[in-house]
Amino acid sequence: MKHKPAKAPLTPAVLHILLTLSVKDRHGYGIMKQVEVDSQEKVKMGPGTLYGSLSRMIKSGLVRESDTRKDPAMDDQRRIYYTITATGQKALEAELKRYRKVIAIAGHIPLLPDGFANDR
Amino acid sequence: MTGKNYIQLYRKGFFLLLRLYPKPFGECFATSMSQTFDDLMNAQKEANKGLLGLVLWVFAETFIGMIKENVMQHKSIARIALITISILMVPLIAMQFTDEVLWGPIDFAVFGIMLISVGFAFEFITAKQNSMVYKAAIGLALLTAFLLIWVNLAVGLIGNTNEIANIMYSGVLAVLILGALVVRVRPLAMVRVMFATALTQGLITIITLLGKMSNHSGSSAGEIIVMNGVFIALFMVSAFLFRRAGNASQV
Repeated sequence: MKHKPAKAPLTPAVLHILLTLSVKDRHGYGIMKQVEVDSQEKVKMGPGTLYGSLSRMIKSGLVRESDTRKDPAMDDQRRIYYTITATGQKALEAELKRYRKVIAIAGHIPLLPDGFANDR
Repeated sequence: MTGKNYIQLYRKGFFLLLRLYPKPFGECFATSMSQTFDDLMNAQKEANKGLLGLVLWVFAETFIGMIKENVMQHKSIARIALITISILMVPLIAMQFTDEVLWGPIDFAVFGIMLISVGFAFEFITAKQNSMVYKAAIGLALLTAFLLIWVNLAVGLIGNTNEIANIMYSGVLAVLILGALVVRVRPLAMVRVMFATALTQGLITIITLLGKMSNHSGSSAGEIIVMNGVFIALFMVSAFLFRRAGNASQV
């Protein structure tokens, strides 16, 4: 299958999904909950955003359906799990690298507001 | 109504919402989305929280997602519709400010159908082409043909709209359409088609002038030459763009 490459920078939803899947394969609801936990409830994704993003990520080759089918806690054979691909891993690394560069540049700017500087 | 009945109602509503997604998307994700919706409701119940707020949020969020997927699935249709509506707004707004623009429902309908037809023709021909020059050549050829029809319908290039001689311009369109079909819109072959189209337009201009049709009320010899000259120039520019697109594809 020919994949349409993902455009950089990644959308926040795509970045969060990749981050979540980089730890382990998850089903839709699992991704949603993990994103919520990882972001300390700052990012709340509904089914529309989640599955719309997954659809585009599959087309871009960032994720694919996993062969894993069972979550012992959820116990449903029909659940579809998603796994990050090598392309997805590379895109995630590139995006994080980009973020680090931006943070580094921001760190060198002397006119940061005090509040921002204290957060670091 | 009991809590279970409410849940059934929410499920039905969500199911209906999922049916509004494009078919290929629904086939891939509708089951998973329903399952996720159930999971969300179950988690909410287990946490002893009310369902209504969650359901409203999920419905709104999924509704936006559905619109987005439909627009992305039918990007070209959405684009054509948007451009057509935008262009139709021009006379509609102008009518509010001046009495010189007087369009009836039929005018809007004909103009709208023509714009949509040109839009679909453009999308269909350029669907598998990445060359911007080729797209520009096709766009210009279609736009010129569109203007030729519209000007003839609105005022008539020779005399007025009742002047039967204007029917000669259907020959220009016939040469363009048949030529494009015969050469299957290949760029270098389209150069000849555009030349032939421009030549036909030129011949009609000569016939008009030799036949003294410029004596008819509504258009002078000068006006006929200028108007036809503009169309000839546009067809020639399109031919030039086709040549550039053809040469680039051969490199």
